[in-house]
Amino acid sequence: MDFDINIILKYWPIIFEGLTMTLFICAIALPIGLILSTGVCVIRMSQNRILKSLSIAFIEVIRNTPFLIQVFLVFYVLPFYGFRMKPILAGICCLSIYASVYFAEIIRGAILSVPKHQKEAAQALGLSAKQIMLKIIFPQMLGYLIPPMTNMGVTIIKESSVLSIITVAELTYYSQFVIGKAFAPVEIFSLVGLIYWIITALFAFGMKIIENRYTYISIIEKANGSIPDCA
Amino acid sequence: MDFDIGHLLKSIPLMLKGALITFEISLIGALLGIIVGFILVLMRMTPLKPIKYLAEIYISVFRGTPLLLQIFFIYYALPGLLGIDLPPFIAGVLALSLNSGAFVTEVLRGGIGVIPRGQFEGAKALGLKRRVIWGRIILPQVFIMILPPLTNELTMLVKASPLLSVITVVELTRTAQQIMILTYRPVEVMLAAAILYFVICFTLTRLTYQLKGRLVLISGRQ
Repeated sequence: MDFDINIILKYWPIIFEGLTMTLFICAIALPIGLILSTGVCVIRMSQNRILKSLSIAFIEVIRNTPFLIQVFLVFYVLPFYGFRMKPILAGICCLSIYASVYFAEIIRGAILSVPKHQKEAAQALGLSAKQIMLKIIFPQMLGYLIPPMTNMGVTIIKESSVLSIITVAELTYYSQFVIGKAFAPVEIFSLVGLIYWIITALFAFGMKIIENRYTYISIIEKANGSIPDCA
Repeated sequence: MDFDIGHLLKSIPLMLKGALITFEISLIGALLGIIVGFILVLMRMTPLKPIKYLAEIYISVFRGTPLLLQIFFIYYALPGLLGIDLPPFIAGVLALSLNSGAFVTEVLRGGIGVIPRGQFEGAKALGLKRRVIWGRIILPQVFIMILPPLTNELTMLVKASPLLSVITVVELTRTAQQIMILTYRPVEVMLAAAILYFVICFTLTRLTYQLKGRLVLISGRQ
């Protein structure tokens, strides 16, 4: 079987439309997920026992069920209870909620990774809770926050392909559509795979730049040439 | 729509069968994934540059593209390329294991990395053969170290396996869809599927924590 580049050139506009949709979904779902995650994380770390157990239950349920099943539940089951959504809206909702739970656990892990005495010292110096969070904890937790966030972001971008199953017209959906028209699975799937690969690589690259620029560990590392012992 | 518990209960036996297949797929995928991961580790450790780069490209591609696309590629495109016919089940398991291998290889590398150099040197000083060093000294220790992340990988595979329903592998999700088409009770059936997945995954996650706890006891490190 030979590789026919003409098919790619011919159907490129359709694939490109899918690409913009994939980028659009991710560009909306990732920030919403991030915003929701701070809320989930705050509730998870709160002192209120009921809220805390509710958030733990929510996190465990989302983390221990497949994304496809969540999508099906929202898309097929919710309409029976009056929430009829367009595929794209259902998809963005699912993706944001899915992202929020994982992000929340990453944020919680990062906050817990900052040594406790940093907070205690700040309290002893009479800093307010807001100051402690923003000036002391937050800058130090970035090093524990950004690398797993990058991984999760890449996972979310990849999971967006699952939405093609509920007919969201994104990249994977259009790749199947094109293959239905011009029977050329090798060319189209290679092209689409390459596109996903480039998107995730660019995303990871961008996050790496942010990481190098803002994290305390990488700043120290640059100065000393080694990671400090934070234990 | 009213919630009919009878439908939920009636669908359980078939669903359990589907769940068993899901677990089977995930387990085979994980075992083959370990083998793929191990081959990749070996490829990355060789001094031969081309083989090393090949492994790096493989890992980068399989980690950077959606699993769904990989499943499609193996099911729809690979038969045309190789001229062989792949049944959905085999194509699906193959996709899962190839994908899993790209993730497991990091786990394995990390596991080998934490074995102190003294273990290699000590074994060499005793005049043991390479095969014995790896088979009897290094790998058993690595295996204990990586048991928790491997159970985690199995959980990931259970959660990834519903994607195989798209290429008509009759596992839990596909079974649920079939029942849904027959009875048109998506609420009960989908919830039943979600609960089953939750039970499997939650058990596995707990197991991971347990193993982690044990491991700290055995090796005295986190």
